[in-house]
Amino acid sequence: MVPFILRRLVQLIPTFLLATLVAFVIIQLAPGDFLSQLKENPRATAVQIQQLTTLYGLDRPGWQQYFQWLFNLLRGDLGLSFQYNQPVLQLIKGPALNSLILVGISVVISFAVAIPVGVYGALRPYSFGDRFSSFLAYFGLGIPSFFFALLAIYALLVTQQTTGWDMPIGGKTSGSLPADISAGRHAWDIFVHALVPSIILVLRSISSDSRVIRGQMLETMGQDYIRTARAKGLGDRQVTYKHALKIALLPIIASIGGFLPALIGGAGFVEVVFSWPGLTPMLLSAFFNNDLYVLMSTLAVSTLLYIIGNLLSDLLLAAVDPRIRYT
Amino acid sequence: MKNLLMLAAALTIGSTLTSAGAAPYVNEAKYSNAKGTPDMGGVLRGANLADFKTINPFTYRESPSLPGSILVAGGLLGYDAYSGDFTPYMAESYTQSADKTLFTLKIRKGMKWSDGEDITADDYMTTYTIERDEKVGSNAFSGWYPNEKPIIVKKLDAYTITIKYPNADVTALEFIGAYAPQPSHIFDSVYKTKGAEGIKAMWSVSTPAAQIVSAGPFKLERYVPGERVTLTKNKFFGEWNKDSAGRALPYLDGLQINIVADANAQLAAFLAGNTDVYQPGDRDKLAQVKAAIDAKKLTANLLPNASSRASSDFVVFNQDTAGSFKGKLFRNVKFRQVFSQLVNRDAMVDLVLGGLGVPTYTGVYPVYKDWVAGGADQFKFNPTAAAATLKSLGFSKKDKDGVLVDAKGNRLEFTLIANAENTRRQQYAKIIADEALKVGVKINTSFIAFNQMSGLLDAKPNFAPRSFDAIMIGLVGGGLTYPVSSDNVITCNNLPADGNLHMFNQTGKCIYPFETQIVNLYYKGRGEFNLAKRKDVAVSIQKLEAANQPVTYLAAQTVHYAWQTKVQGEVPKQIMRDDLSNVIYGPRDLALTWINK
Repeated sequence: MVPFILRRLVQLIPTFLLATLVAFVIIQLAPGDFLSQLKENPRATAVQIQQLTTLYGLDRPGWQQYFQWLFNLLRGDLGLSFQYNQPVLQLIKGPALNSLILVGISVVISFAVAIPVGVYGALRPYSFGDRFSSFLAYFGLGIPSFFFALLAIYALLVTQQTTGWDMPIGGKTSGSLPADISAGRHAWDIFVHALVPSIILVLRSISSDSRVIRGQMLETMGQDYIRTARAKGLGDRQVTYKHALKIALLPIIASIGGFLPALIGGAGFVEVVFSWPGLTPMLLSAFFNNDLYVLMSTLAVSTLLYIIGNLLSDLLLAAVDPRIRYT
Repeated sequence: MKNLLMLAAALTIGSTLTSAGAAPYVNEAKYSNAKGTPDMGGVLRGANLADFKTINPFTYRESPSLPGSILVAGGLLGYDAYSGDFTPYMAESYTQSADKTLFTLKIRKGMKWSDGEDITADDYMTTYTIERDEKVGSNAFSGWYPNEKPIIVKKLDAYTITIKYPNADVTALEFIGAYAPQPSHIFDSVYKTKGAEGIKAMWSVSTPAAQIVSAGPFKLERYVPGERVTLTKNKFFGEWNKDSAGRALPYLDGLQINIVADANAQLAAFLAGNTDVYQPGDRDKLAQVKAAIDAKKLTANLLPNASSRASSDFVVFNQDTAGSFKGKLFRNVKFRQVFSQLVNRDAMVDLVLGGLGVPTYTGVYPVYKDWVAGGADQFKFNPTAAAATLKSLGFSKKDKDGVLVDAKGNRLEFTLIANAENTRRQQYAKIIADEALKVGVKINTSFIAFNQMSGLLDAKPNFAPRSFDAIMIGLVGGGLTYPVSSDNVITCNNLPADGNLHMFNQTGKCIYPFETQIVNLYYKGRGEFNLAKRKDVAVSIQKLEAANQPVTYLAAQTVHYAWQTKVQGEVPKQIMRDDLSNVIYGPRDLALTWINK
């Protein structure tokens, strides 16, 4: 096990370097730079543009910019954001934590709903309940989450206008609360705001995970060893959850590694539509303004997390599945 | 928008004098539509599409920004929107030398920063010194060098400064009007010890709010990045700012700016009553606000078509070379006139802007309606005339696709590029292409990223010809005093290698006589202090533009304002203008705004 982990960690180095290099080249290939917008401003003079180009180091060759960035990264310095004139690390801490709240709530909801629904579908295939949950799953897979988010906002708005029920329709906290409320009240306020976006965010993974679990369970339930277990006289509950579900969950466990980069990757457009101050709005703004080091550093960190996540998945699989051994 | 205050007039209002004996500024009632006695207190809630990037007054680049749009009192002079005059504000009086290049300004006594420190000449010197340091990289840098010659500011005593302009320049008062102080007691010591780097590191979004000092009616209370900014009343502002009844301003207790990154979510926030002010960005959002008001789900005021926008959209042809068929064509003034006649501006306003806009024929934004030349529409939509002119240019036959060809077999076909982010411009481009095809001009449209498009427009090394046919783009920004054009849009000779907006010709040399004529007229206007004569110059420039069509102007949007009915104090309709409105809070002076309880 230990040599396996060590080997994976060594493999991590070239993968990481290659990934950052590709990211850097792609960003550099995009037309324009941070100052492109300013150049079209009638009030910006050529002298000024020249000064800023030097100031931001945009006049240096690309390879110099890359190695400077990489060297700084190794020392734990993620670089400086052009837009904010602040270290990237300091900048992304808050949004990353906010995204974590949404993704965290979503993960909990996802497992809490997808596993029972999947198991139910496998135990009573083609029953009304199974057909209904399948219908919902296809709906959840088919509808783009940002669009569903807009529909949800509209529904919340109409509800509020007709009933006067004050459900938050965006943001992370309520603007009408004073600043000095208790920590518990503050946490509740955030939770209420996070609930609807989290549910929308999780629809997709509930839909796909429950389908996967259902399929896996159906297959596992037909295996010989399940019949053997039943023949031994084990109870339904033990057969289903101890023998069948454990194996049916393997694909889900294999994908757990993907959660780590998702934690920092932001929750996507749902954050934008719900004005949730997560990483996605920040990355979008960095993208539109060619804020080079914000993009590079978040990409690098999520690459790193992806590699570590995959390693974790492999280790987890070994722990759960007796057939897998790492040497 | 501060009005004229004669010192003598203020001295007669004895009760409003502060203990220091200084005269406060009276914010006249003519700038507010509110009736009755204002209610004190309350918080005005607005929304902004993007997170604020910094609070540093020297390094911000965004608009709206906290240091530029919210945490300021104003500049040395105010602007009287009724008369168009610049009148004393933070300067209580000023004199101008006979040659109109030297201004001596008496700074109003009794003004204080939000931490209680006096605002004096030193604070204006701080602005002057740090903005002119190129290592700081301030957006205001170029403003200090009109025509690349420096403006010199000197401190005579604690409350007197002089500003020396290199030439007599009609935009000087506008520049001085916007000249705002920065707290010397905060920035000077840092600048002396750590220089530009020290200044750049100050006042980021994570700096504690208590350290941020404001001269304006509000000071920063709290900033939660990505969520909201809360501001609270700066009580020192009220010591030198009174309303016409002598009450200290502002009336409000505070402001709240919610960060709402999505335009639909902003609409929802306003409809749900979570924000107090809103600007519907297009016809659909306007209609939804109207429907909510009509259905009595929302108690709000809505003012559609309140003002034109201070921005333009136009098509520019690449006229760098006469060496190719297309280059020769684009350099032919008759062809450019034909193109203008193929632009159905009324259809653009009706179909794209939903009737909420105006056709444009000159570079003056329609918001400056007093400045827009009449009769500049001589080449308005007229496909019949266009077809006739094309025939006289030798395009008399059509090929099998219905596209006009000349005797040498050259097809009348080119590509019009617009930026992919902008659906309005894409729809404009489609309308142009449809109408042009009817007379046999084939326009292919191509939509690419803005940065890529601006890369095509930029000058090439050694001013080699650029490689595009036509691009649709727009400009924003300009001035109040002389809103015709700007130096880097008109200059054609001795172009800098980069950052120039003379978009139709990037050869580094003037190619048409009208280019030089426009440059000469423009600088003549800059030195012309008589408003009527200056407007005449502006009309001459626009006539040259209209006749020669260096670029072809299309249409301009109008702005719409909405606010919850409880919000009082918007400016009267007569002076409601996009370029004078607060970017976040709309057409109101925040100091004179109050909330009806």
